[in-house]
Amino acid sequence: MSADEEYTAYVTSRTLWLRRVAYLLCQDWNRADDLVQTAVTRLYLQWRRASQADSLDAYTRTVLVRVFLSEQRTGWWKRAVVTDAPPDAARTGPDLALDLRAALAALAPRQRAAVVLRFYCDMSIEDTANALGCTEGTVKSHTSRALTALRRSLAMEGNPL
Amino acid sequence: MTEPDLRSRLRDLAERDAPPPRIDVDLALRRGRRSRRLRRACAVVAPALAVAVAAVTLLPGADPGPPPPSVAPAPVPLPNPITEQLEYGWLPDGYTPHSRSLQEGRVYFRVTKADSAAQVVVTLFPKGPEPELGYMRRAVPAVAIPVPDVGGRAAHWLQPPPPGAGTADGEARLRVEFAPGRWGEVEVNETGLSARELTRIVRKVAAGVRIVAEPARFPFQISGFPARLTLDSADSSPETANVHFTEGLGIALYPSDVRDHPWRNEPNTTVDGHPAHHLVGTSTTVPADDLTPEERRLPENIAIGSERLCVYDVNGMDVCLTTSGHPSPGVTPPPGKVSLPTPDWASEILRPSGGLLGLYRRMTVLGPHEDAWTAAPFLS
Repeated sequence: MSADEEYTAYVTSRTLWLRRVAYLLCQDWNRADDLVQTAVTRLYLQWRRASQADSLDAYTRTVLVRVFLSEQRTGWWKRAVVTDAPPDAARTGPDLALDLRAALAALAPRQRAAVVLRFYCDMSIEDTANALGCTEGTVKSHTSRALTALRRSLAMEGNPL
Repeated sequence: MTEPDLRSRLRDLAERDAPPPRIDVDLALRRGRRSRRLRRACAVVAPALAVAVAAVTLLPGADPGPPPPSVAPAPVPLPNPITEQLEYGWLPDGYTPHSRSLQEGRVYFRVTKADSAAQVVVTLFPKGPEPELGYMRRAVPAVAIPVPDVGGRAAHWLQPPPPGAGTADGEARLRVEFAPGRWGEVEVNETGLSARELTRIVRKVAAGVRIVAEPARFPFQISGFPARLTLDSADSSPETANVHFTEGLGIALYPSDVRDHPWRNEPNTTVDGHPAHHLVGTSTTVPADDLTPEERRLPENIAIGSERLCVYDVNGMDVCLTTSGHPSPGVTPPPGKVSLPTPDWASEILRPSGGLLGLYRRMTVLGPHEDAWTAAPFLS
């Protein structure tokens, strides 16, 4: 199997997983697709090194997170370029997932990334620090502040976490 | 707060109904290869460009003034990116056509249900053989399941009709050859329906779909549009339009009375008497990634080649034009590294004709009422 074939097989098998992580990072399916598309392109550029990593999934997840953080820095011009989402559903009662989405969106990007990596991807503090390119202390700080903010936001919505 | 609670709710959120993915592995391969070539090219041309770019960069807060007179017109107009429309012989009660968008060669037609998140999505693939089946939700490889012709046309499910093994609740996707060599896909996203009802809806919608020639209409028209820009995505929705080019140019228009659209910022200048927001990146190195939101809006923290010009209340619409630094995926260097435009960035392609301001001044804004929109948005 050639390197391109290995890459294609790997990315195809991980697309949905990456898309879900991306969605939690950005709360928008269109943008999540953009993030994953960019991340897998970047992964292709680094494929020789990535394919030799101890954990290819961890490597790929780090690429995705850094694409997300990089977009915060340089990608503001691309926000919400597509308006194809259906109208919001009428809310007839509490929707826990939507409230969590709103609460996540209110977090600073690095805090949000810390929450997603720690509690959705079940990564250790050390691995999260590697993915975010910061110290373990910073991860603890991001996580603590994020949880405080989430708790406050969800309590305001009447469905405390 | 318990961590298990948070984990559970994050999973619920990530696994909610999602629109069809638009991730294209073949495109990633093509762009990756192109980026490799670009990297090699950048190493040759970047130093010479740095001086030229820095010399003409505008500062925020100032009215940018008139554009240079020279314009390099395209030899032919850029064709309308969306030339087809769908007619529906039947739609479920409450559903109405909402928008159509082009993304990497595929056209997505969305039909939405009032006061609901439910939607029907019909994807029209480029002419040619049927695309790969790809994956269903929950990473289940799609399998073609033959069915009798639908509306007299070849068709197959992408897996056993719901609730087949491995599917998510409410997922049903039917591939149909709408015309010879013209494959499409019908998907309904509506939870709470029985498998039998969902299957019936998908088949009935698919049976009635007809492709007709009807170009999308846009609320603007631009003369002297540069020939070197390649359209990447386009969206035509009620009252709004978004177009993006692979070189990093973005064009977005919203009704002025939609005050919370993503481009609405406090005006810091005027353009031809209209309030406007203008921001130009001046950093020749990649900014740090730990900046606050306020710091990220400072020109010195935005990569050179990135520019945003939003002009408000123009014939009832807000017009936002943007160029991006690092438009090619995969080539953004890490913070602190030198970052300079290359000739294929939108900022450089537009420079001879006056940059974003020149582009804006060659644009006619047709207003928020769709009956005034045009099917020929890009003129030579």
